[in-house]
Parts: sequence; C-alpha cells; structure tokens
Amino acid sequence: MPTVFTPLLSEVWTLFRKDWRAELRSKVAVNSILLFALVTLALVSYSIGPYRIPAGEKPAVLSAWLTIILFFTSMTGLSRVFVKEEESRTAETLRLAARPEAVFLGKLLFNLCLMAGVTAVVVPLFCLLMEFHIMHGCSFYGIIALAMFGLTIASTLIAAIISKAGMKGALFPILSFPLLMPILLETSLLLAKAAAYPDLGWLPEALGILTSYAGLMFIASILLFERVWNA
Amino acid sequence: MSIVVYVWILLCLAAAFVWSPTAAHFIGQSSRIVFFHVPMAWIATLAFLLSGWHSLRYLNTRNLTHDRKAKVAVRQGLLFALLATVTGSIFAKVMWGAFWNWDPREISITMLLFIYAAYLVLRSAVDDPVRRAHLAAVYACFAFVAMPFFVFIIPRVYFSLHPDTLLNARGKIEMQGRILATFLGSLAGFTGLFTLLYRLECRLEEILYAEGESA
Repeated sequence: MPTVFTPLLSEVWTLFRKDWRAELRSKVAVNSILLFALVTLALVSYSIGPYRIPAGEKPAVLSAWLTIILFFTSMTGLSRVFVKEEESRTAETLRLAARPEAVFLGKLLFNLCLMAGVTAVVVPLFCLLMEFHIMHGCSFYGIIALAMFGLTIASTLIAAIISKAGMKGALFPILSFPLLMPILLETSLLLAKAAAYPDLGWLPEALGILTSYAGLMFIASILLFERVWNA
Repeated sequence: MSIVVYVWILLCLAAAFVWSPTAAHFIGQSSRIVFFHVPMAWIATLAFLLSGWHSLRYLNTRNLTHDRKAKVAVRQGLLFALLATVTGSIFAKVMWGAFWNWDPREISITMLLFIYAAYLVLRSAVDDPVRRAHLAAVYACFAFVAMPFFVFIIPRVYFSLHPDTLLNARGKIEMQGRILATFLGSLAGFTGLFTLLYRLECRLEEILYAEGESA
C-alpha cells in the first residue's frame, strides 16, 4: 500500500481493490449492467430509430431517452455492491475490518468506475445508432459525467438501505427514483441544450445545480451511511 | 380544541364559497380552489418536514416514539399531498384544459407523493422494528436533503403555468381584502385540522404499540 495514503484512503483503496478483483472474477455486475444497457439501447433504436423523430425535436427526445437508459442501467447494477456482501454473509466481517466511511467510499468508488465504464460504451453507441449529432461535445460529456456522479452517490446509499430490507430488486428503483428525479430532469434538459443550442450561456447555472446536488448527496451519504451500515 | 377547529373549518368553507369574491383573471369560480389547494400543499410540506425532524430525532435518541411520529407524519402527508394533487388537477382542467400538464409544480408534488409512498414501502419490507426504524429514518433524512430541489429549484428553473404562490417572486402579496382573509383563515384552519389529526393518530399509534400491534 503506498505510504502517502492516509489510513482512511488506504482502507478505501483496499476495499475498492477487493470489490474490483471479485468483479473481475465473476464479472456479474459488469456483464449484467452492460447487457441491460445494450438491450435497452437496441429496443429504443428498433422501436423509434433515428429517422422517425422530426429533426427539430431530436435533441429533446433523444436526450430524454439517453437519460432513461442510463437511469435504468444504473438500477440494474449499482445495488449489487452491498447486496452481495449481505447475501454472502461477508458484511459482518467487513463491519469489523473497516470503518463505515471507508466502506461507503470504497463501494462508491467501485460504482463510479462501473458507471463510468458503462457510460463510456453506451453514450457513443447511442449517438451512433440514433444519429445524435452534438453541437458541444465537451459540455455534453461533462454534463453526463456530473449527472452520473450525483446519480451514483445517491444510488450507493440507497443500495446500502435496500441490502438490509426484503424484496431488494423492486425496492431499489422505488426508493431511488423520487430522489434522483431532480438530477434526471435537469440532465435531460441540459443534454438537449448541449446538443442543439449554439451558445453556452446557460452552462454555469446548470453545472451549479448538478454540482450542488452531487455535493449535497455526498455529504448526506457520508453522514448517514454509518446509521445504515450498523442497523 | 377540536370543536374550535371544526367550527373554524366550517366558517372557512362558508367564507370560501359565499363571503369571498372570485379573483380576477381566473375562469369562472376556479380561483376559489386556492382556499383548499394551497393549505393542503402546505400541510403536505409541513408533514414532510415533521417526518424529517422526527427521523433525525430518532437517529439521535434511538427512541422508537420518534419513529412512530415520523410514520404518522408521512401517512398524513401522503393524504394531504394526494388531496393537493387532486385539487390542483381540477384547477388545471378548468384553467389550462387538461388535468395533467407536467408543470414543474405538478412534478414537485408527484415526487413528494413518490417519496412518501417509497418510505411506506420501505417500512413494509423490513420485519425487525429497530432495523425498520433505522432504515426508514435514514431514507427520510436523505429525502429531506433532496427536498429543496423539488420545492425551490425545479419550479424556478423550468417555465411554469402555475399562478404565483402567496408570496411571489417579486416579494409581494397579490391577494387582498376578503380573499386574503379567507385564504389565511383557511391556512390556519387546515393547519389546526392537521395538528388535531396528527396528535390523534400519534395517540392511536402509542396504544397499538403498547398492545403490540404497531407496524
């Protein structure tokens, strides 16, 4: 372990590596989340295709579709980090071995990497299949990155909650959707603007909203996670 | 206290339909719905704040009484949010021609309904009472953090057909005379009604808990 790491960061890194190695062995989360995204993408592409949407409405419609695909994709895989610990009965050991903040940050880092990987595959593929031409590529991908950051933070805490409840699969989207709604609405609107608006005057305010949402969710998650973890 | 509240509500009803005139720029009698719709939306928000407060108190004290109070607040908040949605939809049909327009205010109230419903579904998915209280309290606190985005940011970022709230963006109260008096009276009356219902259901919960029937 690099000596420059503080004990907390060292724990976070160790937990992240543990999850990453386990994932590389089984590839359950990566395969399921990626396949789900591709199936949804194929369904959207097949059902509406790139040419059935009027050109003027394309940015708004396709941005909404992309946001929906990313939301449901995240719902299929992000809960696994905590659910698998509870199902394989390793959560108790983890409780003894690491402090709660380290567990949360380690799991969050894993989920962020997972979503970054999936987004990196799905978004260009979506743009390619749906003939989605983007005017401001940097803003477009920056908005997606910030939105996925906020979405993953909130989803990771919800994943910890549902891992301790019954009917986990159904509960995850039920609990997540209302809390993620502000970021989903905002993302859909901003992606449409980044794709079609010639000027970028709206960008600072938009980034402010996405950043404040992600920041608030992060602080709340760090403060509340211990209560969930030790429940 | 209950008699005073019931009489007050009756007076508000009479004032809303008889004493108060209709407001300008609204179709027919549609403006009268403000005396019921806004108090219900206000109580739904108040109940949400109350559930957040008791959830926070539960996490600090581990006293299950706070968990039960949070649950009661959510249940009643759900009822009032539903009533606010229905009254809002009736107004939307008269004024804008459709029951539902996905106006930012409609999105906000829908999300509040979803949060309340999700909270109750979460409670029903956990058997152990202490674990249930813990998880529900965390979810309520988490939702509490997201709430400013529903109440303050979404309605202001997106274009809305919704009329100004009591205190509008220019910091002015547009209502006057009898309309304002009826509106404030109705706000006070429905807040009193909520207080009454809330205390009653909290007492009922305590009795059920003592008899081992509370969930």
